[in-house]
Amino acid sequence: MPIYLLLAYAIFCVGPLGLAISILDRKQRVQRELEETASRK
Amino acid sequence: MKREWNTKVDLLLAGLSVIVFLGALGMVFFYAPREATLGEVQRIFYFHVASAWVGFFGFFVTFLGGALYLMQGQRRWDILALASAEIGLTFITMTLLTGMLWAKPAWGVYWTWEPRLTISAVQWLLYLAYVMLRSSVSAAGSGPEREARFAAVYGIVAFTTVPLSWFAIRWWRTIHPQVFSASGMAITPKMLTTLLISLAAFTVLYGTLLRARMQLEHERDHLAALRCERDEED
Repeated sequence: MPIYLLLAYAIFCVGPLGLAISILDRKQRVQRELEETASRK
Repeated sequence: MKREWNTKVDLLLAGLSVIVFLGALGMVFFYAPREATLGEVQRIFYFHVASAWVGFFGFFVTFLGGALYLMQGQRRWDILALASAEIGLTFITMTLLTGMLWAKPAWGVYWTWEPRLTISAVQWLLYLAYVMLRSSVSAAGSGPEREARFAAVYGIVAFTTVPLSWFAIRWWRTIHPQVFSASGMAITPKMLTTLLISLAAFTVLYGTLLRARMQLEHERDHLAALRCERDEED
């Protein structure tokens, strides 16, 4: 199988997955800060 | 109760996205026929077009969100525009990279400054600047309303690159393939089915990512409001 095809589909899989992980990570950080702020009130 | 419901919808959407994505991937490799001229490399086409579609659609939603924000001034439209721009940029980046991987065996070079590719490069830079500016304008202390207004106008102006990119291969002499034209489609029925399934899969993926990215921004707003309250109490 041509290397270009494999590389392209690796990008197609990693791109959305990377974005999803990045969003979830940022969300978890905000939720942690929300809990900390709420508990300090 | 609402949070539990939201979690269930999130999981359902994530599961659906994975299923349709894998389904489309299977069709690309096991259902679509091997193209006679380019061979296996032609299979890049299905997800490349789907990725470009989501990128363009994402920028259209940013345009729409910006226009609605300017008309109504509601924060939710600004959130929609910002979330969609980030997703659109990710998919356009994938489109550019995989286009280069397709171009090398097809044209003999990774990149050439022909109209469609030049407009795509300008578009990528414009939206990269949009996403980067959204954080730097806040840091400069200009205020959220001013930042949102500026971003809305920017998103509307930047959207002009989408129709320009679409018509570039129709208006000017270019080496970029033109699959959809007035004379019909240059692909077989099996290829078309695979392309349509890929388009559907990427659209579901866009919806899932957009929902998650918007939730993140709403939670950031909630955090900022809580901190404001706490500072006032102190």
